[in-house]
Amino acid sequence: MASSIENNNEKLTLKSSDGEEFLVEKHVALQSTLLQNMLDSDCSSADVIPLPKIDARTLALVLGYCKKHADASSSKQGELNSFDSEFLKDMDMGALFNLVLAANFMEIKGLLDIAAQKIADTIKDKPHQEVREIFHVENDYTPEEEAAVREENRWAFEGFP
Amino acid sequence: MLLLLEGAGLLQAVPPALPPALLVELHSPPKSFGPFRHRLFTDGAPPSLTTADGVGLFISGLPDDVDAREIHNLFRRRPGFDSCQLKYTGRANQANALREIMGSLSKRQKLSEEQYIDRISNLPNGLVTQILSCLPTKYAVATSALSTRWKQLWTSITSLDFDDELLVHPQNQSGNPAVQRSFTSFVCQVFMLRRDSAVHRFRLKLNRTYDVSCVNGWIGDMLLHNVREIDLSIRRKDSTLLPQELFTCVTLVVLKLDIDCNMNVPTSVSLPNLKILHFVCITFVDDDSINRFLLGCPVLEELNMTACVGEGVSVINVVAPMLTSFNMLNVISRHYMKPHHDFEGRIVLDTPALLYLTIFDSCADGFVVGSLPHLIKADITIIAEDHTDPHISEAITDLLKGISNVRFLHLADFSLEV
Repeated sequence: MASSIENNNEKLTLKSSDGEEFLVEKHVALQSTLLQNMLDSDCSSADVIPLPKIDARTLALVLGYCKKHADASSSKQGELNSFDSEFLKDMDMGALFNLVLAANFMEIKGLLDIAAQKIADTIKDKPHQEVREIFHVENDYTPEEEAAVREENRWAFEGFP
Repeated sequence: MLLLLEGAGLLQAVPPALPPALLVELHSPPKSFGPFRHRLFTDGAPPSLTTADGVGLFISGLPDDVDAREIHNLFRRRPGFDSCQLKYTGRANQANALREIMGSLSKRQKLSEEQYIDRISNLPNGLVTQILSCLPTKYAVATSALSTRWKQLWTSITSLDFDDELLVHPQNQSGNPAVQRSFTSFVCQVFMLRRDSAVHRFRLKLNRTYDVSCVNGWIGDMLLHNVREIDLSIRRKDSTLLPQELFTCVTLVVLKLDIDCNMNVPTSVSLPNLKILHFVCITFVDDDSINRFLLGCPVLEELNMTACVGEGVSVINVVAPMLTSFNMLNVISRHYMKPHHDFEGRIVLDTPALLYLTIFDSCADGFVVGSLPHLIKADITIIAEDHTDPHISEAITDLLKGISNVRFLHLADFSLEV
């Protein structure tokens, strides 16, 4: 028991792409499979771990999520669920994409799942033209090619204009 | 002062007193979603005034004391205003005003460009596939029309989710056989075109009647792809035979069956990894079928049973050493509005690891609760028809004795005062 408390107090330093350093408790960092694997191998927790693809704003969000999930006990699943849905509420698309990439890179499955679901919810129930506008997807089909794709998958476009 | 304006209507609010020596050019055809770009020429290199298909605005005469706000008003973004070039003489206050405006413009331009970047198409394929796997399959397939990058991405999805309600034109209401045909070809096409990868989750919601062999073919195909989660919701009156392989699928972790039919359980049931099992409306016809099913799920953790007991059932033995959550909704009395059809048997709980228990019924009889040393929360709702019947109070008391060590008890009774 004593050793586990000692381990819990152990901290490591993460460095964002824009150079900001974050001191993180080890049990919080372990929410990330990437960091877990690094710690399990020869990487010392005294080293600064650079995360070159994640900016400070995103990393702060990610670590907020990890801390909540690391600290909550398993019997508080309901509380965690409501935290998760509040966590992404009102987040702008840019921040959401940064977050999904960070969760993917750091291998934080729970965060990846909720962020992917949030992006999927934006696509759901909308005709593809509207999805294109929301995400600024440039349509590089010729009108003939697009018509051919729609015809090939005709059943997917039923009920939409 | 010289003002030369082609493509009138693009810049509507040109200030009346235009200053000397300001050269503005608008060019390139308007793009629907492209960012507004400014370029400032301060080196005196003359910008070209006209382009083949563009509109050009040439203004000269900018007062020496022009301020940043005036320049901003002149160049602020309007529909179709895609880019401009500007030349100035560098006299007096002009330089300061322009420096100020360009500073704020480049900041704003950076912001607006970020807003217009197509982030979703630039995600790695694996992430796009994961996002598409969160969608009903219809919407995942519809992304094929976004751009050439998206044409094949959906074929790697790892979750298939079909709902025939989603496929219907408002004018195609039930009774139109074209809906069934269209839906069947939709599912068959997806099965044909998708990559031959593992499927994590298969959800099928049918509100109409389909060919049984066709539906079983789809389920069978999923079972061959190491499916982990199957969620079937099938509304139909005739008996549905589920494929026998469903009862011996080693990869299955979650099984949800909401099917209005009699359950034909094969002699051998083996679901060694099944953790979550939901039965809704499905009817077990005798003791043997339901008990055989439950015995085939040795690592079950969550069991939901809703109105799933037929008249031939008398004793249900729930022997589940790892079960932590058990919800029973109208199990004892399937039709609580019709008390004469009450199930007169027993449910015996041999579930030592149980943490959460929910009972919602019109009858408190028949729950035989074994030792539940770890029970955290029990939620018991009994809707008794006749609150003067001492038998009911007795039955509830017996039930509560069985769960007396619970930490949180929520007890609701719509008609009975205990």
